[in-house]
This record gives sequence, structure tokens and C-alpha cells, in this order.
Amino acid sequence: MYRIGIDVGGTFTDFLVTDQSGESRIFKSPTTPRDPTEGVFEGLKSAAESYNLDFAQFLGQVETIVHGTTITTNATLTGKGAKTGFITTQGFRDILNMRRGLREHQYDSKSAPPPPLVPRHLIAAVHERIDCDGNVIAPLNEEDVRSAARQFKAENVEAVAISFLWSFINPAHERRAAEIVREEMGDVYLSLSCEVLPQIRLYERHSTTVLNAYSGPPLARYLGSLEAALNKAGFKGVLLIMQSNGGVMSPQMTSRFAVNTLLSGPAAGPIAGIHYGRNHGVDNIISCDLGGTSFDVSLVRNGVPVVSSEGSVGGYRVAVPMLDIHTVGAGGGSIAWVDDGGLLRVGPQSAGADPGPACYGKGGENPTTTDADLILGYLDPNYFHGGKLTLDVAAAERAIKTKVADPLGIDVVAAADGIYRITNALMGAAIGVVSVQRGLDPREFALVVAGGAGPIHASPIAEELGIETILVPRESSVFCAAGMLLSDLKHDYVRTYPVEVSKIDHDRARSLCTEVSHEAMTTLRSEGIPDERITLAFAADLRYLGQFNEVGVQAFDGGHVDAKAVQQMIQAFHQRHDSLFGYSMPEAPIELINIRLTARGTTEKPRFKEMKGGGSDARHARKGSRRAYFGKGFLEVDVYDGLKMEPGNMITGPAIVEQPTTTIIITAGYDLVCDRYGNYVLHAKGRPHHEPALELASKETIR
Amino acid sequence: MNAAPIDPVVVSVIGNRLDAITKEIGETMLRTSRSPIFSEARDFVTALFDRHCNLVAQTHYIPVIGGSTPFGQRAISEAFGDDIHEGDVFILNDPYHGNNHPPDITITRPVFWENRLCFWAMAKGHHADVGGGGVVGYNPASRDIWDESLRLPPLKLVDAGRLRKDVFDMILLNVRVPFLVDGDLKCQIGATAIGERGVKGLLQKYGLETLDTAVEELLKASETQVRREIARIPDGVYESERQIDHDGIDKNRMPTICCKMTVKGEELTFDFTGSDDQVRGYLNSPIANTVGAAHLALFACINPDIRYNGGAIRPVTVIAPVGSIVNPVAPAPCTACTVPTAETIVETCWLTLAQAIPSQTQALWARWCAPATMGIDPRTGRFFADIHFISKGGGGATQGYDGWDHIGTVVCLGGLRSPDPELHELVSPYLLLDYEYLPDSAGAGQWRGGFGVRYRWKVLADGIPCANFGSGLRPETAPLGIAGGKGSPPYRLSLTHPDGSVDPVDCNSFYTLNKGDIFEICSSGGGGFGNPFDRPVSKVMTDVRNGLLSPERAADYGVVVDPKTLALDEAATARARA
Repeated sequence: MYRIGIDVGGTFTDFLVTDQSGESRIFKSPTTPRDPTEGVFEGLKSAAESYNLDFAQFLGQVETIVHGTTITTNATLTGKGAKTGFITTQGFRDILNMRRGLREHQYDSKSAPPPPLVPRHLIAAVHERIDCDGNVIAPLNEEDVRSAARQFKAENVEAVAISFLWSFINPAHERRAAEIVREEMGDVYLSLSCEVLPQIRLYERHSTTVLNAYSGPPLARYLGSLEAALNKAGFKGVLLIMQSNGGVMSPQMTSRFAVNTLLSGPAAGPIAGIHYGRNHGVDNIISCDLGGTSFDVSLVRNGVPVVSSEGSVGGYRVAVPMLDIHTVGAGGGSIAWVDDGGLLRVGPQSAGADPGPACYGKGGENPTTTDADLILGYLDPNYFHGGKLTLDVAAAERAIKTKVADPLGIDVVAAADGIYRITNALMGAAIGVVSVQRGLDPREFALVVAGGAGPIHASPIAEELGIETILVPRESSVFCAAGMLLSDLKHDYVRTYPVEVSKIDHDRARSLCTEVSHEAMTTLRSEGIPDERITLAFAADLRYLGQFNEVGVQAFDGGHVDAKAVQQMIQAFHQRHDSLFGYSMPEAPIELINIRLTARGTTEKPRFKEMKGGGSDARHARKGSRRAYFGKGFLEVDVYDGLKMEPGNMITGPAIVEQPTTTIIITAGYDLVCDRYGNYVLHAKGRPHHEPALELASKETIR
Repeated sequence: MNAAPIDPVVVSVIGNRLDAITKEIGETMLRTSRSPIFSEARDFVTALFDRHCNLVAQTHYIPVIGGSTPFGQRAISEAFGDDIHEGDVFILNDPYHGNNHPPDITITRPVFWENRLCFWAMAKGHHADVGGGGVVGYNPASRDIWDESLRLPPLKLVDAGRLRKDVFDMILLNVRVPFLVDGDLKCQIGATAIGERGVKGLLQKYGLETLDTAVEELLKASETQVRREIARIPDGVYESERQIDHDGIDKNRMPTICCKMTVKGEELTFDFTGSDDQVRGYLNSPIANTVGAAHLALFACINPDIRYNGGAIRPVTVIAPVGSIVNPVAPAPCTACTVPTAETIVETCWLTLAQAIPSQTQALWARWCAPATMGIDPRTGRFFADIHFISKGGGGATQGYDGWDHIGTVVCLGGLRSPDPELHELVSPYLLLDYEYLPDSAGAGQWRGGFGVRYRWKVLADGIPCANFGSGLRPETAPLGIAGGKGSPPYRLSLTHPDGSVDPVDCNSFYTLNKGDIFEICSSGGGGFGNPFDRPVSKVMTDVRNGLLSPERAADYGVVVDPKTLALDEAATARARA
């Protein structure tokens, strides 16, 4: 039986297939943006071939496919979502498109806001009003809703979002409006704010609900056709879809809550990071993924990834919980330039895949991070993507000379080193955002590095930040696909209950907890999860009375609400406020805003196979040497073939380890050890450390 | 100063980190403050200074406050001289001691390294109350500074790590909403500690000497960039003037501000000589505010990537005669300076820039007229205090881009976040009736202005004091278009009582709101850029279809629309545009 993680990326679709023995194989196929199913099938077919099975036979033996998709993200970013109609409260027609009246780049007058997801003529403001206590001040004018639905139908609207003021306190009007829309428009895609995000803050709720409608139909169509095609081809297992919150969901639930997949791909990164960290007994990790145009970083503390509801995609606010993945525009394709004040900068412009870095020889004239990596000897021009692409060193030199070295009056190598260091500084700053800015010391974390080029930059970044341990998974280049196989079913629920903590009505709080746990249990059972595999984690959003932003803490364990539970919650809040913001106010009254529930259905995980141990000597894997830039100049350093390395093999930096799609630069400050799964661990020198590969071989740590 | 040569890469790295630290200070302010003026609207700035009080880095949610910060920092540094120690935190709000206007309380903390004062971290923002006779600081009846506020010269609020309870309690005793001010002052103190932590991290890594050199390089780099930008502006002398409705005291007199911009090579001067003498009401603009507004005007028209710091402002001179409305002497009242007066200063600067570099300049934005209200919410028994930011108008168009909708005021350049209507109803005894775009409010042009809004709310409590401040209610103060673009109509405000009677509402005046009253504000849009007849008909028709442009006003664009069917009359349009 096989399990497959499939991550559809911008350029490649990545596959990680594991079998019962725990052996895993990597496949890649070109992504087919028009119909991603084609790319998915092509990859599955090469997997079948590799196992010497015919396609139907192979699919018949696949028990689980976990799939990360970029359908919703792409639809949102390219403006190709469903034609959407929006029904909201009269008098508030433009809240969605006002975007709270902000311009993010204040001094940039030559800019425009993101185009509206729903043009104003498709926003119907109907007569109805509920106040902040849930009282109906004006009844729903059903005729208004009906005529809006008729207009939408005449305009061929494919999806309808409904979001009224205070609907999270009293959803009656939204639900009735939905019935009317159904009557008029049949099986149109419907998105209700009281289902998608029953939570205070109007713009945030509107935007999330509308994005759900906007991205829902393309996702539902895609998942429908993918499931049909898989079933037709002989697949009898379970298909699960990766969510932005780091969990997975059934295709049926996913189609209803499409907005939960806006970070479907990258969300698997931290999950993979947790797994690789655990193999080394590390629970605190910073997981990062360096792609062509961006660097994604996220933080995991005590084995739990940080979740945030402050996200946005393409300038549109998404307020559902998503893994807190911080993205900066610094990748292999980021362009280096000198600004008119004479300072060297890298990004955010990117050469993309076409023409790509100058060294790709596809006509790119701008120097990029990859060009700098090449000049510095970190990349082998003849072994890029395992030799599939030969890099043009002269083109890289030319680009760096004309665009960076000459304007700065320095030589090409110094310029390349400058580009490398600025890129590292940008990445280091991004790590600072998820750690230092949240009051956490990065030195207490291990760095888990993914993406083909990530390990080229990891060790100087870690050195700069004082991080002592770096983990580079053997599957670094299909990191997210690996993470998908390790994800659990996960659903988030929220109920708003604004009240001073001293005045919490325990019965009401308890009944809200019961309400969401019923909803969660029903959903997870419908997804085939037996009760013993379901765990419920309750939390509360709190603030000091009068503050406008909340801090989330664990609370009401097991849905249990009493004086003691409230007291524990209060203590946890003071502590968290203090660690986040540098102060707390123990005397000040506290207000509850939301009760949250995260429900998890634990899935079967693949067991990755252990490799046979070798000695510490890595000489058998040495494939040669080359000149590369370390510190202040070029050094001739050993180059090792990663595929030949065995558990226990050790290399002292400076050195280079190469796999076909991954290059690891080991600076003089680090030693590298291959662990028992064939992953790499870099340890800061001069710090006593065990040989984890050997030590761990004696005990089972996989969960 | 002759700095040792430094690796240009290190300079960039340090520059990015300094910017990030000011964001960290700001994030703490946003997340932990109590007054919605901080947390929802982001009416604050954060900054770092070197020990010479040069501005090093800044996050300017509200740019007009940003330009004023060096004045306050210098005043504190000079007042305490040798008596500045590790763990101290200073406070200031008096405009005649370097502050811009009294409600924006400056909190700043020295950063020490190896027993030397090296840097300063500042968090400054608009408090819910500062005493005096106003509402949220705004007192349209004030005739001197004492009518407006408790005056805080540079003071130590924390002495070597210990909060000075005497000073702190004295401040809280003099404000109406001690609960909010208490929380927000502590939030500012905490935020500067976050800044201190960040700067110390840099000092630890690079040492003071390298950091000093890097900072000087950063300032020089910005200065070079600004000099190049100014060099591209044609040399010459350009003049303009604009007015304000009135100062709250002399309601029949419109104060005038004059601007003469002189561009010579790489240097530029804004000279406000000729502006009116200081006025009796609260429009007077202390020098920190005047300089902040003038800088904002220039920096909004040049390369937006330039770091705004102590170097960037070196090539720019601001001349403001002492005793005038743009540089008053004590005890002239001045709370409204950051809105109507600063807007007017920006407008005069832009109207001079529009003569020199029209393609880089924006048409005028809607001014901002809004009430500040405070009181006790009868539903909860809690204090509330708020500025009605929801009335923000539209932005001006520029070549190539329409103005942004509901983005005003220009002194915030889009950094002021509109409050959430639900939170607004939750903490204040109000029921919102209308909050949407106001059709026909955008100034016509090849690129049109942004739309203003119609904001109407019903009062659910009795006896709420309301100070309506701002300007833009008269034809003379409504936004202008540039380069052939049209202006937008002025603001319209009214107060409708439960018996159906309607009172007109003026700016810079007090009102008392009672249960059942309905307050209505129709704000201006932004001015247009370029000839409206050059706007593509399809874009005009999009606004018509969206209900934002009436068939009558479509005529401003030479577009003829059937008022019943909203269909385009192509032939008539062609004739009208011919």
C-alpha cells in the first residue's frame, strides 16, 4: 500500500510516495496550470512505472493521497475567480471595497488598490438590520434579496456571498437570505459569513466570506474532476486536501470552505519541519523554504506551529486561522540592483523562471541571487538540477559587473559576495520577524531548511543569528509534499462572546463550547475519523478591557468552564501579554472576545525507513573539490555526493554536499552529520554534541 | 565627521534592521493600546534617533506626526543634558517645547551601551484625552493653550527603571479618561522598551563605532537621493495660497497660508512668509507641525523608496515667520494644526509643485471634517472617547492613477485605518445608519479623484459632548483638481433631531448630542487630474453602472447617458467631446 503527498507548485508538481516499509521515492512533473490534473496524473504515472505496476494496479494500492493545491491562490492572485455576487446590509454597500481606507505604501502615489473582487453593481445592499445585542431592528426585506438573486442570475453570477452586520450574534437573516437565493438560483455556490467566519470585524468577515465565494467554484470544479478521474483510474483510497491551517480536510468540506486553502502548499512546510525536528528530539524549530521568488519562514514552538488570523493574499484580507508563514520577496531569482543613493539592494523584483537568472542563458540580463551563488562557487555550473541545465558563468559575471560591481566600484567577486550577504540578511530579517518580533530568541530554535537553494544560504544565516543546529531533509526539494503526508485533519471553529471575564456566564460559555464540539465531531465523523482519534483543543481570545486587539491563550480544557478554568485562563493571558509585548497589567480587568476550538483527527502517518549505518568517515562519498568563497576569499574545498552518504558520516566545514536538486554549503563554523534517515544535520563547531544519528538509532521517536 | 570606511553591505543590513525595529515598536503599540485612536486608526508614529537627535529610522503610520518628531527629541535631550540615565523614560506634549500639538504625547527612551547614551527609541501618538476644555483634545472654543490641555514640558516619567508614580498620577488626575490614558502610556513605555531591546541587539553585534558610521552612511545615502530628486525639478520660484474655513473663534474670517517654493539646483525652500499672523483659535501650527507637513508634501511627490531620515531632510529648508499661523508663539492654541492647518500647508506646497513637476504631483485630497465625541456609555457604564475617522474623504488623482477612495486625510497619506463599524457600535452608544461611498463626490479628470463617503449615525445616549473639527465646508476650501482636472464639492454636515428639525453643522464648533439625534456627514472626494474629456468612455460608464456617477455628472466627462436606462448615447457623447 502506498501513501502519496502531492504539492502543486508554480513550476513543478512534487510527489513523495511512501510504501509500507517506509521507503520513500521522489517524483516531479511539470505543473500544468490550465488543468493541474494532467500534471498530477503524469507524476502518478511515473510513480507507477517506477514501482513496475500498471497504472490502475498502482492506484488501487494507494490508500491515501494528500494534496496541496494552488487553485484558490492562483484564482485570487490572477483575478480569475468565479463571477461573484455579494449581498450585504443596506447602508454598508462599500465596506468590502473600501479595505478600511488604507494605502499600504503611503508615499507611493503611482499605485492602485487591488481590483475589487466584486464590482459595485454586483453588490446588493438589502434592507435588514440587527444590533450589537442580536436584536432585529429592521426585519429582512425578502423582496430585496429575491430581486438581487434574480439580477445575479441574469448576470450569470456563479457564486453568492452573504454577510450582514452582527450576523455572528444572530444569523437568522443570513440564513433566510440564503434560502431565498437557493430558491431563485438553484445550486449556485453559496458562502455565508455566519458559517465561514462567525466573528466580529465587518471588513475582515466580508472579505473572507467573499474570497470563499470567489475561489470556491474553481476549487470545487477541480476537486470534483480530480476525484472522478482518480476513481475512474482505479483509486479506492482517501483523498485529503491540505488547508492553510496546517491540517487536512475532505474534498467535500474543502469545496465548501475554499478560503481555507489559500496557503495550501506552503502550510505543509512547518508540518514537515516538526517531523524532522522530532527525529532529533527538537520541538522548537524555524522552518524555511527558499523558492525562486520568495522565502517562506514560519516558527514552531513546543511542536506547535504558530497560527495567525492576520493574513492577506493578493492584498485581500483573509481572517481565518492560517499558519503564520512570513514571506519575503527574496529567492533565487531575486534581482540585485544599486539604488540612486548608491546602496546595494536585492529584490523584491524577480527574474522569475523566464528569462530567469542571467546564468540560465535565456536572455536574462539582471544579476540574481543564483548568479551570485554561481560566481562564489556554491553552485556547480555542470551539475545544476543534476546536470539537466548548464549554467553560463560568463553571463552571470557580465550581469553582476555591469549592474552591481561597476556602479559600486568594486570587483565582481566582492559584488557577488555582497549580493549573497544582502540576500542572507533579508532572510535573517524574515526569521527575525517570526522570532525576535514575537519576543522569542532564535538561538533557542533549530533551523529546518527546504527548497533546492535553501541550504546554500542556511549556514551563514544561522551563524549570524547564533543558531546552532540546522536540519536539511534529504527530501528538501519536495519538503511540502512530505509535510502533507504528515498532516492531521484539522478544523477551526470560533464563537464571539464579548464579556468581562469576571462576568462570564459559565453556562453560556459552556454551551458555546458544546456547540462547536458537536459541530467538530459531526464533521470529523463524516470524514471517517473514529472518536478515539479525535482531539479537541479549546482556546480563548482575551484583551485588557479597552484594548482593541486580542491575545489567544489555551482555555476551557475539554470544554470545561468553571471558576478555576477561568482563573487559569487569566493567568495564561497575563503571561502571554508580558512575553509578547514586554509588559502586563495584573490589576487591570480583562475581557473575553472569542472562544475557539481546534479539532484534530489524527491520521495514519507513513514510517520513513531507516538506513543502514556507516562510520563517521565520509571519504567514500567525496566526488572532488572546487573553489568556493568562504569568509574573505576563495578556498579549495571538498565536494561530496549526498546520495552516497550513509548515517553517521561526518564532514567538517568548509565543504559542499550536493544532491541533484539540492546543494548544501557548510561554512567553517559547522560540521555536518548524516542521520539514520539520510537527512543532514549541521552542528555549530565548538559546541559539544552527540552523534544523533547513532544515538537515535536505538530508540523510536517517530510519532 | 570623517568616518572610517565601511563595508556598504553592512550599511544595508543595518538599515534594514533599524527599519524593522521601528516596526516592532509600532506592532506593540497596535496590539496593546486601548484607545481606538491608536489601535484601530493607527494615529501614532515610532522612531529611532542617534545621540545627536538625528532621525535614523521611522515608521510613519501618520506622516505629519513623523516629520515633527526630531523637534521633540531635541527638546528633551537639551532639557535634561547630563541628567539622562539608563532606564529613564521621558514624556512631552507641550507644543512650545518642541511638540507638534498637545494630544500627541511623545514618549522617548534613551538606549545606553557601555555606559554611554547612544540612541533614542520613541513612540508618539494621539491620546484619548489630555485635559483642558476639549473633546479628545479638540477644543474649538480655546483661546489659549491652557484651554486645550495639561501642558507637559520635557519630564522624566520613568527614573532609572522606576515609574515616577507622582508624575504619572498627576497626569491621570488631569484627564477625563484615566483608564484609557493609563493603558496607552504604559503601552508606549513598553513599546520603547521593545525598541531598546532591538537597538541593543545591533550594538552587541556591530559595536557603537560601526553602527555610528553606518547610520551616517544611511543619512548620506538618503540625502544624495533627495538632492538628485530636487535637481530634476526645474529651478525657479513658484507661489500659491490656500485658506481655512475659520478658527472657531472668528467665524467670519478665513485664515490664509501662502507658500513660495524656490528650487535652486539640489536645494529646495518652502517659504511661508506672507501667511496670516497667528490666529485667536486653535488653528496655529507650531514649527514642528509646519515642517512635518512641508516635508510630507515634498516626499509624496518624489521617489517613494527613499528612507525618510535626518539626511533626507538636509537639502530642504522651511521658512516660517515667528508669530505667524505657521510658527506661533505661546500661548496661542494649536490643537487643530495637525488636520486643517497641516492639510492647507500640504495643499500650498503641492500647488507650487504642480507648477514645476505636474506629472509627479497629486490633485488635492478631501480635507477632513469629523467630530470627536466622548462620554459614558449608558449600556455599560464605561467611558468612551473616539474621533469619527469614518468620515474620511477621497484622495487626489495623479497622472496615470485615479485617486483612492475614502483614504483621507492627506496628512496621513492613507495610513489612517478606518474603524471597524461593529467595534465602533460595541464601545460607543451609536447605531450606524449609513457608511458607504458618496456618489458624484469624485473630482472629474482624465484620472478622477477618489470617492468620499456618506456617514450617518444615530445617537443612543443623552448629553454627549461633540467637538466638530476640521475644514472643507466652503467652496474655497473644497479640493481642487490639477492639470485640467476638476475639484470635488465641499463637505455637507447636518444634525437631525427626533422631532424632525434639522440643524446645520459647522466645523470647529461644539454640539451636544442627545438620544435619537442623527448626525450626517457627506465628505468630499479627491480632485481630478487632467482633462475629464480624455477619460475613456468605458471607465466613465463603469462608474455610472456602479451607481457612483449620475447621468447629470457624467456630462462633466462629455459622456451622455440616458437618465432612465443608464445607456450610453454614443453619438451624443461623440458630439459632446468633439
